[in-house]
Amino acid sequence: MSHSPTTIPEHHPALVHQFDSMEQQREASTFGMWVFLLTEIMMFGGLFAAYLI
Amino acid sequence: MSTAAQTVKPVMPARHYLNDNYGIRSWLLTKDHKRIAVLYLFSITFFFFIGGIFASLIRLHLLTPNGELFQADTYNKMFTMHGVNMIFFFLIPSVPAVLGNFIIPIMVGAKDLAFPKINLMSWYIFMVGAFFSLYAMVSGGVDTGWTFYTPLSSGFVHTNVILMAVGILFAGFSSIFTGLNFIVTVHRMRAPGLTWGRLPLMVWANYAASLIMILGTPVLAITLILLALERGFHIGIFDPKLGGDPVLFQHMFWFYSHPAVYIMILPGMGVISEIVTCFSRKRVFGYAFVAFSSIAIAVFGFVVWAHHMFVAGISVYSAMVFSLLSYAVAIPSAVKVFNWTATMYKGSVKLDTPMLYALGFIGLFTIGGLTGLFLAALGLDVHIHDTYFVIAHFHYVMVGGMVMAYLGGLHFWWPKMTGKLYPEPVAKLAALITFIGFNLTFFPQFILGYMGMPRRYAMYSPEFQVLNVLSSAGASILAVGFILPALYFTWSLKYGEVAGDNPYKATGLEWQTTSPPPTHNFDVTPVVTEDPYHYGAEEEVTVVP
Repeated sequence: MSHSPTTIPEHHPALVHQFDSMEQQREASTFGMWVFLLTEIMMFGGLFAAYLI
Repeated sequence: MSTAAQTVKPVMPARHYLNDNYGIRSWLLTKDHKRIAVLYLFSITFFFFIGGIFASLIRLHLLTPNGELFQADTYNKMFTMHGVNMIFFFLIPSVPAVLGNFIIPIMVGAKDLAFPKINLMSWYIFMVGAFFSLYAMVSGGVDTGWTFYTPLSSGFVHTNVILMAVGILFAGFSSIFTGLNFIVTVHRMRAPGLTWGRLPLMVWANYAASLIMILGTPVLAITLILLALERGFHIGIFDPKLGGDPVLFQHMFWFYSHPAVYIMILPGMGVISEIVTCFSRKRVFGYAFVAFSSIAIAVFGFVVWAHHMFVAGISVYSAMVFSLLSYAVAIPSAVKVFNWTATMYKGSVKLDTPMLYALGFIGLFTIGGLTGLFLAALGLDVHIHDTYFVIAHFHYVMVGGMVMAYLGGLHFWWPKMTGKLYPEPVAKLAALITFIGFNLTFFPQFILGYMGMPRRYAMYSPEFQVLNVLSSAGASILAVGFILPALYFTWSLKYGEVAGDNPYKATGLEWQTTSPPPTHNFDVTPVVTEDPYHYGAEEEVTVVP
């Protein structure tokens, strides 16, 4: 195991502490939204399936 | 790993997540995954003991065939509230929300989970659910069983079904948020060099459980909403009198609730993989197989739900398919058990407390899993469905498996979480007491079930009494085994020895940071250059002056 020097944070005002870069932050947010949409599909899919059956 | 640091007596780090900020505000508004894990730890411990009180009352009541303690209706409430508490407010959040929340961001070398505010919100939503559930309990309780089968729950009982359903709905959303956070974190926030093939098995297992959380829990949510609509507004969904289909409820309920079993057990399996490798000082046998068996369990878990319904009137052909698929789940589960055993083979096995729990898990989960195959067999299931055999089977998986894994994990990472060591001899004794108490409680129930004692009855035939007394005696021993860790963990916070960064000489990123870790987990971002579990011959020698 080795260590690299701490990534120098980009001083973008919108960058939150847990991310290393704006790109990582944007990717995580987009991916998170897709996962959330997936949960919505499961929930409303269940509703429509119950109605159809 | 640094050897120089280990040659002197360990000291607590000057700054860590526990002393970074003080005051109730700093805890209730925290976005630190470690502090949120601690909040969850307190919350679910509370619910574990509430559920335990119900369990104790049930076992006290069943000491005598006629059940002297409660009316039958009250007994129904006791087992319902035991089930709801233990499943939704303890087992499901146990490893993911406490241990996973604490350790997974550190294991992947991240500063926090991807969405810290959602993480905090998940705890608040959990507590709102817990409030509804507690209110439902103290204001009359619920007596439908934790399964809420319709039309009993939607039209026949006069207890707080809707309140309890709302409580579970909230708890479900809290678990969706945890799952969402884990998935995004594992995909997007791994440290440089930490490829999927280098992820610790704890991360794989929690990732697989998270997939179930996000895919299954929404279906439970809509099922409970529909149940509440039918109960509150007489909209016919499940009640045949209103034009509904009661078996539909069972399909929808078990579509979530069977995979939910894997939400509970998979993270436990991840904990066991970490413990077994560490205390065998060996690489895990067949890393890829163990990792992918978690995914396989998650996938197969979604296509076995109707094995809960073999006698509910489903077609014999679909029953045959579900039976076969249920057998298929045994394959990835067996892969794990065989690989843990092979990992221990010729390893330098050290029987520290976490390892005792892990060994307990392997044995008891195997019994629980194999008796699951009895229940997946169509013919045998007709004989033993809804008997104490089922109770014994799932308690072997949930308590013998999951609670053992949770306690093993809590002991394993306690030094990391608090920076303190617990008293090892007492902890070993507690593990032993738990193992003995557990088997004495639940093994007689296999026999009782096979002899035909049905579950959920407030009284039983006198010939079942001896085994019931044994079971109740075992429960009292088990209670001691569960109370002891609560006592010595609390004791260790003040009087425990300082643990040091890596008391077990374990691999894994969480052991590279301080104990307790700093708020941002790592002073420098770690770069991973090796496979996990690189335990080998070149183990470092510790010199303690």
